[in-house]
Amino acid sequence: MSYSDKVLDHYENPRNVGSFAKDEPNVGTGIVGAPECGDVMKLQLKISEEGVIEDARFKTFGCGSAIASSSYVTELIKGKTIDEAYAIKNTHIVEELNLPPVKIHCSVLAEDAIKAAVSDWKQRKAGGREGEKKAV
Amino acid sequence: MTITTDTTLCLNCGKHTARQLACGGCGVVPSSPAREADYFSLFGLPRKLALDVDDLGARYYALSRRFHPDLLQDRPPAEREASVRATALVNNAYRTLKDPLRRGLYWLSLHGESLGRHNERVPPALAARVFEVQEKIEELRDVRKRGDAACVESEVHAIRDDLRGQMRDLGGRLVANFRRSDGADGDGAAAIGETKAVLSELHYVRTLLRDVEKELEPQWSV
Repeated sequence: MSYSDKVLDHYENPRNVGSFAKDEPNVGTGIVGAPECGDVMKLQLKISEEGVIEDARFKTFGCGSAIASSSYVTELIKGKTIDEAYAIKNTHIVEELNLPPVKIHCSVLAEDAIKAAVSDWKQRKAGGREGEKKAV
Repeated sequence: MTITTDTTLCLNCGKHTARQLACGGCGVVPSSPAREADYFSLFGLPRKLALDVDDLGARYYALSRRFHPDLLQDRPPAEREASVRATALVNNAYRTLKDPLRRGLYWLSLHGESLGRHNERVPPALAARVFEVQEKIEELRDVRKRGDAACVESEVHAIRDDLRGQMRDLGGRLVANFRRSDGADGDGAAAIGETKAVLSELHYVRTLLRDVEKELEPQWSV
Protein backbone atom coordinates (compact mmCIF):
# COMPACT_ATOMS: atom_id res chain seq x y z
CA MET A 1 0.00 0.00 0.00
CA SER A 2 1.32 3.43 -0.81
CA TYR A 3 0.07 6.76 0.41
CA SER A 4 -1.47 9.22 -2.02
CA ASP A 5 0.36 12.48 -2.75
CA LYS A 6 -2.17 14.41 -0.69
CA VAL A 7 -1.64 12.20 2.34
CA LEU A 8 2.13 12.54 1.97
CA ASP A 9 1.81 16.32 1.65
CA HIS A 10 -0.23 16.60 4.86
CA TYR A 11 2.01 14.11 6.60
CA GLU A 12 5.19 15.98 5.70
CA ASN A 13 3.75 19.47 6.15
CA PRO A 14 0.91 19.09 8.63
CA ARG A 15 -1.27 22.20 8.89
CA ASN A 16 -2.35 23.76 12.17
CA VAL A 17 -0.43 21.51 14.52
CA GLY A 18 -0.53 22.57 18.13
CA SER A 19 -3.05 23.39 20.78
CA PHE A 20 -5.16 26.13 22.35
CA ALA A 21 -5.52 26.51 26.09
CA LYS A 22 -8.17 23.96 27.01
CA ASP A 23 -9.95 26.24 29.46
CA GLU A 24 -10.50 29.11 27.02
CA PRO A 25 -14.26 29.57 26.93
CA ASN A 26 -14.52 29.66 23.14
CA VAL A 27 -12.44 26.52 22.58
CA GLY A 28 -13.95 23.09 22.06
CA THR A 29 -11.67 20.08 22.49
CA GLY A 30 -12.26 16.61 21.12
CA ILE A 31 -9.96 13.70 21.90
CA VAL A 32 -10.80 10.45 20.16
CA GLY A 33 -9.06 7.13 19.68
CA ALA A 34 -9.38 4.13 17.40
CA PRO A 35 -9.44 0.82 19.27
CA GLU A 36 -7.94 -1.23 16.47
CA CYS A 37 -4.75 0.65 15.78
CA GLY A 38 -4.07 2.57 18.98
CA ASP A 39 -4.19 5.94 17.25
CA VAL A 40 -5.31 8.97 19.21
CA MET A 41 -6.31 12.36 17.86
CA LYS A 42 -6.93 15.72 19.52
CA LEU A 43 -8.80 18.40 17.64
CA GLN A 44 -9.45 21.87 19.05
CA LEU A 45 -11.75 24.42 17.53
CA LYS A 46 -11.96 28.12 18.33
CA ILE A 47 -15.60 28.98 17.83
CA SER A 48 -17.18 32.43 17.80
CA GLU A 49 -20.22 33.41 19.84
CA GLU A 50 -22.27 32.99 16.64
CA GLY A 51 -21.06 29.44 16.19
CA VAL A 52 -18.53 30.00 13.41
CA ILE A 53 -15.25 28.09 13.53
CA GLU A 54 -12.51 30.69 13.48
CA ASP A 55 -9.46 28.55 13.99
CA ALA A 56 -8.42 24.94 14.51
CA ARG A 57 -5.48 23.02 15.93
CA PHE A 58 -4.72 19.34 16.04
CA LYS A 59 -2.27 16.85 17.37
CA THR A 60 -2.35 13.19 16.38
CA PHE A 61 -0.35 10.19 17.47
CA GLY A 62 -0.87 7.69 14.72
CA CYS A 63 -0.17 6.64 11.17
CA GLY A 64 0.28 8.90 8.15
CA SER A 65 -3.38 8.61 7.18
CA ALA A 66 -4.56 9.61 10.65
CA ILE A 67 -2.25 12.62 10.67
CA ALA A 68 -3.28 13.60 7.14
CA SER A 69 -6.99 13.19 7.95
CA SER A 70 -6.80 15.46 10.96
CA SER A 71 -4.53 17.97 9.25
CA TYR A 72 -6.91 18.15 6.30
CA VAL A 73 -9.89 18.60 8.60
CA THR A 74 -8.36 21.64 10.28
CA GLU A 75 -8.11 23.32 6.87
CA LEU A 76 -11.52 22.19 5.73
CA ILE A 77 -13.35 23.33 8.81
CA LYS A 78 -12.17 26.92 9.18
CA GLY A 79 -14.93 29.41 8.43
CA LYS A 80 -17.68 26.81 8.64
CA THR A 81 -20.56 27.03 11.07
CA ILE A 82 -20.79 24.33 13.71
CA ASP A 83 -23.78 22.82 11.90
CA GLU A 84 -21.82 22.62 8.66
CA ALA A 85 -18.88 21.12 10.53
CA TYR A 86 -21.12 18.59 12.21
CA ALA A 87 -22.41 17.50 8.81
CA ILE A 88 -18.93 16.64 7.46
CA LYS A 89 -18.80 12.96 6.63
CA ASN A 90 -15.76 10.73 6.73
CA THR A 91 -16.45 9.70 3.12
CA HIS A 92 -15.56 13.24 2.08
CA ILE A 93 -12.16 12.87 3.74
CA VAL A 94 -11.68 9.44 2.14
CA GLU A 95 -12.34 10.89 -1.32
CA GLU A 96 -10.23 13.98 -0.81
CA LEU A 97 -7.21 12.08 0.50
CA ASN A 98 -7.71 8.96 -1.58
CA LEU A 99 -7.55 6.72 1.45
CA PRO A 100 -7.42 2.96 0.82
CA PRO A 101 -10.05 0.74 2.48
CA VAL A 102 -7.74 -0.28 5.35
CA LYS A 103 -7.34 3.38 6.30
CA ILE A 104 -10.98 4.38 6.29
CA HIS A 105 -11.10 4.23 10.07
CA CYS A 106 -8.64 7.14 10.15
CA SER A 107 -11.22 9.32 8.41
CA VAL A 108 -13.90 8.10 10.81
CA LEU A 109 -11.66 9.18 13.65
CA ALA A 110 -11.34 12.66 12.15
CA GLU A 111 -15.11 12.93 11.71
CA ASP A 112 -15.60 11.84 15.31
CA ALA A 113 -13.02 14.36 16.50
CA ILE A 114 -15.02 17.20 14.88
CA LYS A 115 -18.22 16.03 16.55
CA ALA A 116 -16.49 15.60 19.91
CA ALA A 117 -14.94 19.08 19.71
CA VAL A 118 -18.22 20.75 18.76
CA SER A 119 -20.09 18.88 21.51
CA ASP A 120 -17.47 19.92 24.02
CA TRP A 121 -17.82 23.56 22.99
CA LYS A 122 -21.62 23.36 23.27
CA GLN A 123 -21.41 21.72 26.65
CA ARG A 124 -18.92 24.21 27.97
CA LYS A 125 -21.02 27.06 26.66
CA ALA A 126 -24.13 25.69 28.40
CA GLY A 127 -22.15 24.85 31.54
CA GLY A 128 -20.55 28.31 31.53
CA ARG A 129 -23.94 30.01 31.48
CA GLU A 130 -25.15 27.82 34.30
CA GLY A 131 -21.96 28.62 36.18
CA GLU A 132 -22.61 32.33 35.79
CA LYS A 133 -26.12 31.92 37.08
CA LYS A 134 -24.87 30.04 40.07
CA ALA A 135 -22.29 32.70 40.72
CA VAL A 136 -24.96 35.44 40.74
CA MET B 1 -4.96 -47.00 4.11
CA THR B 2 -6.49 -45.77 7.32
CA ILE B 3 -4.44 -44.80 10.30
CA THR B 4 -6.47 -45.10 13.45
CA THR B 5 -6.19 -42.20 15.86
CA ASP B 6 -8.67 -40.17 17.84
CA THR B 7 -8.54 -37.26 15.39
CA THR B 8 -11.97 -35.91 14.78
CA LEU B 9 -11.45 -33.31 12.11
CA CYS B 10 -10.29 -33.75 8.56
CA LEU B 11 -7.82 -31.04 7.67
CA ASN B 12 -8.68 -31.44 4.03
CA CYS B 13 -12.42 -31.11 3.88
CA GLY B 14 -13.08 -29.79 7.39
CA LYS B 15 -15.49 -32.62 8.17
CA HIS B 16 -15.43 -34.55 11.38
CA THR B 17 -14.41 -38.13 10.89
CA ALA B 18 -14.51 -41.13 13.19
CA ARG B 19 -11.19 -41.56 14.91
CA GLN B 20 -9.02 -41.69 11.81
CA LEU B 21 -6.12 -39.64 10.67
CA ALA B 22 -7.15 -40.31 7.09
CA CYS B 23 -10.43 -38.58 6.45
CA GLY B 24 -13.36 -40.95 5.99
CA GLY B 25 -14.94 -38.41 3.67
CA CYS B 26 -12.15 -37.79 1.20
CA GLY B 27 -9.53 -40.35 2.21
CA VAL B 28 -6.66 -37.88 2.32
CA VAL B 29 -4.07 -37.87 5.10
CA PRO B 30 -4.11 -35.01 6.36
CA SER B 31 -3.94 -32.99 3.12
CA SER B 32 -4.52 -29.28 2.75
CA PRO B 33 -5.86 -27.62 5.87
CA ALA B 34 -9.45 -26.58 5.54
CA ARG B 35 -9.62 -22.84 5.77
CA GLU B 36 -13.14 -22.98 7.12
CA ALA B 37 -12.25 -25.31 9.98
CA ASP B 38 -12.46 -23.25 13.13
CA TYR B 39 -9.65 -23.28 15.68
CA PHE B 40 -11.85 -24.48 18.51
CA SER B 41 -13.06 -27.60 16.71
CA LEU B 42 -9.53 -28.27 15.48
CA PHE B 43 -8.65 -29.01 19.11
CA GLY B 44 -11.96 -30.77 19.70
CA LEU B 45 -13.16 -27.92 21.89
CA PRO B 46 -16.56 -26.26 22.01
CA ARG B 47 -16.71 -22.71 20.69
CA LYS B 48 -16.46 -21.23 24.16
CA LEU B 49 -14.41 -18.25 25.25
CA ALA B 50 -13.42 -19.58 28.65
CA LEU B 51 -10.94 -22.37 28.20
CA ASP B 52 -8.30 -24.16 30.21
CA VAL B 53 -4.97 -23.12 28.71
CA ASP B 54 -3.13 -26.18 30.15
CA ASP B 55 -5.65 -28.48 28.55
CA LEU B 56 -5.31 -26.56 25.30
CA GLY B 57 -1.53 -27.01 25.52
CA ALA B 58 -1.90 -30.77 25.96
CA ARG B 59 -4.21 -30.97 22.95
CA TYR B 60 -1.80 -28.85 20.94
CA TYR B 61 1.17 -31.11 21.65
CA ALA B 62 -0.87 -34.21 20.82
CA LEU B 63 -1.99 -32.73 17.50
CA SER B 64 1.50 -31.42 16.67
CA ARG B 65 2.99 -34.85 17.18
CA ARG B 66 0.33 -36.45 15.04
CA PHE B 67 0.82 -34.11 12.11
CA HIS B 68 4.55 -33.69 12.49
CA PRO B 69 6.14 -33.90 9.00
CA ASP B 70 8.98 -36.07 10.38
CA LEU B 71 6.53 -38.82 11.25
CA LEU B 72 5.14 -38.99 7.72
CA GLN B 73 8.40 -39.50 5.89
CA ASP B 74 7.24 -42.72 4.28
CA ARG B 75 4.08 -41.10 2.90
CA PRO B 76 3.72 -39.64 -0.63
CA PRO B 77 5.09 -36.10 -1.15
CA ALA B 78 1.61 -34.59 -1.37
CA GLU B 79 0.74 -35.86 2.07
CA ARG B 80 4.04 -34.70 3.51
CA GLU B 81 3.44 -31.24 2.12
CA ALA B 82 -0.03 -31.36 3.56
CA SER B 83 1.33 -32.22 6.96
CA VAL B 84 3.52 -29.11 6.85
CA ARG B 85 0.43 -27.03 6.13
CA ALA B 86 -1.50 -28.83 8.84
CA THR B 87 1.29 -28.12 11.32
CA ALA B 88 1.23 -24.44 10.40
CA LEU B 89 -2.54 -24.36 10.90
CA VAL B 90 -2.27 -26.07 14.28
CA ASN B 91 0.48 -23.67 15.37
CA ASN B 92 -1.59 -20.68 14.31
CA ALA B 93 -4.64 -22.03 16.06
CA TYR B 94 -2.71 -22.60 19.27
CA ARG B 95 -1.12 -19.14 19.23
CA THR B 96 -4.53 -17.60 18.70
CA LEU B 97 -6.44 -19.52 21.36
CA LYS B 98 -3.71 -19.41 24.00
CA ASP B 99 -3.85 -15.63 24.37
CA PRO B 100 -7.17 -14.35 25.77
CA LEU B 101 -7.09 -11.17 23.69
CA ARG B 102 -6.36 -12.95 20.42
CA ARG B 103 -8.86 -15.66 21.33
CA GLY B 104 -11.51 -13.01 21.95
CA LEU B 105 -10.76 -11.26 18.66
CA TYR B 106 -10.92 -14.59 16.84
CA TRP B 107 -14.20 -15.43 18.55
CA LEU B 108 -15.56 -12.08 17.36
CA SER B 109 -14.47 -12.88 13.80
CA LEU B 110 -16.35 -16.20 13.99
CA HIS B 111 -19.44 -14.13 14.72
CA GLY B 112 -18.78 -11.91 11.73
CA GLU B 113 -17.59 -9.14 14.02
CA SER B 114 -14.39 -7.16 14.41
CA LEU B 115 -13.12 -4.51 16.77
CA GLY B 116 -13.44 -1.82 14.14
CA ARG B 117 -17.00 -2.66 13.14
CA HIS B 118 -19.48 -0.10 14.54
CA ASN B 119 -16.88 0.62 17.15
CA GLU B 120 -14.62 3.34 15.89
CA ARG B 121 -14.31 5.09 19.21
CA VAL B 122 -12.77 4.26 22.52
CA PRO B 123 -14.30 5.72 25.69
CA PRO B 124 -13.44 9.46 25.83
CA ALA B 125 -11.65 9.22 29.18
CA LEU B 126 -9.43 6.43 27.87
CA ALA B 127 -8.63 8.35 24.68
CA ALA B 128 -7.66 11.37 26.81
CA ARG B 129 -5.43 9.18 28.97
CA VAL B 130 -3.72 7.70 25.92
CA PHE B 131 -3.13 11.18 24.56
CA GLU B 132 -1.62 12.28 27.84
CA VAL B 133 0.71 9.25 27.95
CA GLN B 134 1.77 9.75 24.33
CA GLU B 135 2.62 13.37 25.13
CA LYS B 136 4.69 12.23 28.08
CA ILE B 137 6.59 9.80 25.84
CA GLU B 138 7.22 12.65 23.44
CA GLU B 139 8.48 14.81 26.31
CA LEU B 140 10.81 12.01 27.38
CA ARG B 141 12.31 11.87 23.88
CA ASP B 142 12.84 15.62 23.98
CA VAL B 143 14.53 15.75 27.38
CA ARG B 144 16.73 12.79 26.45
CA LYS B 145 18.11 14.81 23.58
CA ARG B 146 18.98 17.59 26.00
CA GLY B 147 20.61 15.37 28.61
CA ASP B 148 19.23 14.61 32.04
CA ALA B 149 15.97 12.74 31.64
CA ALA B 150 15.87 11.00 35.03
CA CYS B 151 12.84 12.92 36.27
CA VAL B 152 10.63 12.32 33.22
CA GLU B 153 11.92 8.77 33.00
CA SER B 154 10.67 7.96 36.48
CA GLU B 155 7.30 9.47 35.55
CA VAL B 156 7.12 7.18 32.53
CA HIS B 157 8.11 4.22 34.70
CA ALA B 158 5.19 5.03 36.98
CA ILE B 159 2.91 5.21 33.95
CA ARG B 160 4.16 1.82 32.79
CA ASP B 161 3.45 0.23 36.18
CA ASP B 162 0.03 1.83 36.18
CA LEU B 163 -0.73 0.50 32.69
CA ARG B 164 0.45 -2.97 33.67
CA GLY B 165 -1.97 -2.88 36.59
CA GLN B 166 -4.71 -1.76 34.22
CA MET B 167 -3.88 -4.67 31.89
CA ARG B 168 -4.23 -7.10 34.79
CA ASP B 169 -7.61 -5.60 35.76
CA LEU B 170 -8.81 -5.73 32.17
CA GLY B 171 -7.58 -9.32 31.88
CA GLY B 172 -9.69 -10.21 34.90
CA ARG B 173 -12.68 -8.41 33.44
CA LEU B 174 -12.20 -10.24 30.16
CA VAL B 175 -12.14 -13.67 31.83
CA ALA B 176 -15.25 -12.80 33.85
CA ASN B 177 -16.89 -11.62 30.67
CA PHE B 178 -15.89 -14.81 28.84
CA ARG B 179 -17.61 -16.88 31.51
CA ARG B 180 -20.70 -14.72 31.38
CA SER B 181 -21.04 -14.84 27.62
CA ASP B 182 -20.41 -18.62 27.56
CA GLY B 183 -22.93 -19.14 30.33
CA ALA B 184 -25.61 -16.96 28.85
CA ASP B 185 -26.73 -17.62 25.35
CA GLY B 186 -23.19 -17.40 23.98
CA ASP B 187 -24.17 -16.00 20.61
CA GLY B 188 -26.35 -13.25 22.01
CA ALA B 189 -25.80 -9.72 20.73
CA ALA B 190 -25.36 -8.38 24.26
CA ALA B 191 -22.55 -10.85 24.98
CA ILE B 192 -20.83 -9.90 21.74
CA GLY B 193 -21.19 -6.21 22.53
CA GLU B 194 -19.79 -6.56 26.03
CA THR B 195 -16.93 -8.75 24.92
CA LYS B 196 -16.12 -6.28 22.20
CA ALA B 197 -16.03 -3.38 24.65
CA VAL B 198 -13.58 -5.11 27.00
CA LEU B 199 -11.47 -6.35 24.08
CA SER B 200 -11.32 -2.83 22.62
CA GLU B 201 -10.09 -1.38 25.85
CA LEU B 202 -7.58 -4.17 26.35
CA HIS B 203 -6.31 -3.89 22.81
CA TYR B 204 -5.93 -0.13 23.12
CA VAL B 205 -4.15 -0.25 26.47
CA ARG B 206 -1.87 -3.04 25.26
CA THR B 207 -0.82 -0.97 22.25
CA LEU B 208 -0.08 1.96 24.53
CA LEU B 209 1.83 -0.18 27.01
CA ARG B 210 3.93 -1.53 24.14
CA ASP B 211 4.81 2.03 23.11
CA VAL B 212 5.74 2.91 26.69
CA GLU B 213 7.85 -0.21 27.16
CA LYS B 214 9.63 0.36 23.89
CA GLU B 215 10.55 3.83 25.02
CA LEU B 216 11.96 2.56 28.31
CA GLU B 217 14.06 -0.16 26.74
CA PRO B 218 17.79 0.25 27.26
CA GLN B 219 19.41 1.96 24.27
CA TRP B 220 21.52 -1.06 23.36
CA SER B 221 18.65 -3.50 23.04
CA VAL B 222 16.83 -3.88 19.78
